[in-house]
Amino acid sequence: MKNVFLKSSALLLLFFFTLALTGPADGYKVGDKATNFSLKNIDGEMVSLSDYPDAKGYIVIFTCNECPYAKMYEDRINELNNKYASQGYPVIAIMPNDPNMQPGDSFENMQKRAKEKGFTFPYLIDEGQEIFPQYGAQKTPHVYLLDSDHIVKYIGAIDNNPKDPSAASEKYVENAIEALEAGSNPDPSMTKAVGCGIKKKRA
Amino acid sequence: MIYLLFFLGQFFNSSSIISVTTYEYASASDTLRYQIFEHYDDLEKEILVPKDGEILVVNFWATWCGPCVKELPYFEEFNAANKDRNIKTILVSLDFTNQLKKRYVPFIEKHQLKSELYILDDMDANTWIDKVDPSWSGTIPATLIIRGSERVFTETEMESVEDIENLIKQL
Repeated sequence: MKNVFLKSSALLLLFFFTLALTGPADGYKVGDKATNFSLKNIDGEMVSLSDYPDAKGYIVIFTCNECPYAKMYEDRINELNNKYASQGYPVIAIMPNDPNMQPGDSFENMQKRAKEKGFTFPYLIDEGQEIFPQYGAQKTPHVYLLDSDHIVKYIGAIDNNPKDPSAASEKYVENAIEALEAGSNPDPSMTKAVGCGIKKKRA
Repeated sequence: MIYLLFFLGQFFNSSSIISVTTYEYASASDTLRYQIFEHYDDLEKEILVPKDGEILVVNFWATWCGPCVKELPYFEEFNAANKDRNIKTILVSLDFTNQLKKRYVPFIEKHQLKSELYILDDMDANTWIDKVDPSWSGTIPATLIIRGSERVFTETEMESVEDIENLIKQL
């Protein structure tokens, strides 16, 4: 009996080791608690989720300067912030690429692009690339909608038509926020989209 | 001298209209041909169907995607080396249709691409990405191998022709 117990404990231990090894690489799923961060904004100030004590939620968007898909969504990201920041859901954009791999995404170019497009939201650089892997962001743009307790409520695309906002029949992020406001869970809570792979620093 | 032929084909089936646009290019050296699909389902039904024993090597790419452009020569080399075998190399581009003249056509002309060329212009990615493979995150490049009902899928970038051959061995 004792032997069986020992064996099953060993198996359980092995199971948790495997989980520990494979878990973080997959990133967050809906229902997970997202990590807070403190990342440099284009104005040089550090920005963190804690800077918004009254937020009802956060629209965290991994995006960049260079990706054609990210560019097609720039105006829509601005509109999301203009519409929802005042309702308690600010946009926080994070640029996850290694600028050495893609010079167009350098900090200076982020400042330039934000000015050209009149970004009304913080545009942070994931220096050291430590935040995007924890979230599990794989591409730009990639949205994580968090509630006030930093619980992930929605992961995916902004809507279902990158090329033409007026032809988008599903506004995923807006619908997800409306769901949170109504006290329910977003449906769908996860969507997929084509995007540019995040440029990782070469090992 | 480059000239352009354009014809729009509409094929009917019981439930939906399949819209396929075909362009043909003829430059001094060779003829390049590509086809645009507005719906992934049509591409799947018309093109991603291997004949008996045939292997399809399908690469999803775009001219705006650096890593895709980098691995493209391996697919072209693979295509050239396997012409006599029962293998077809298919390059499905996600280039935007409003940039074809500016970006896509000059690219395929410059590199004289010999694989079969298609453009997929289906914006509703959330509905078709999982049909290619449920494990696909949606980033490109991505490669799918099909033989009969067997499929192998990867988002890993190819770094040699051998990488493509090793994928086929996984069937």
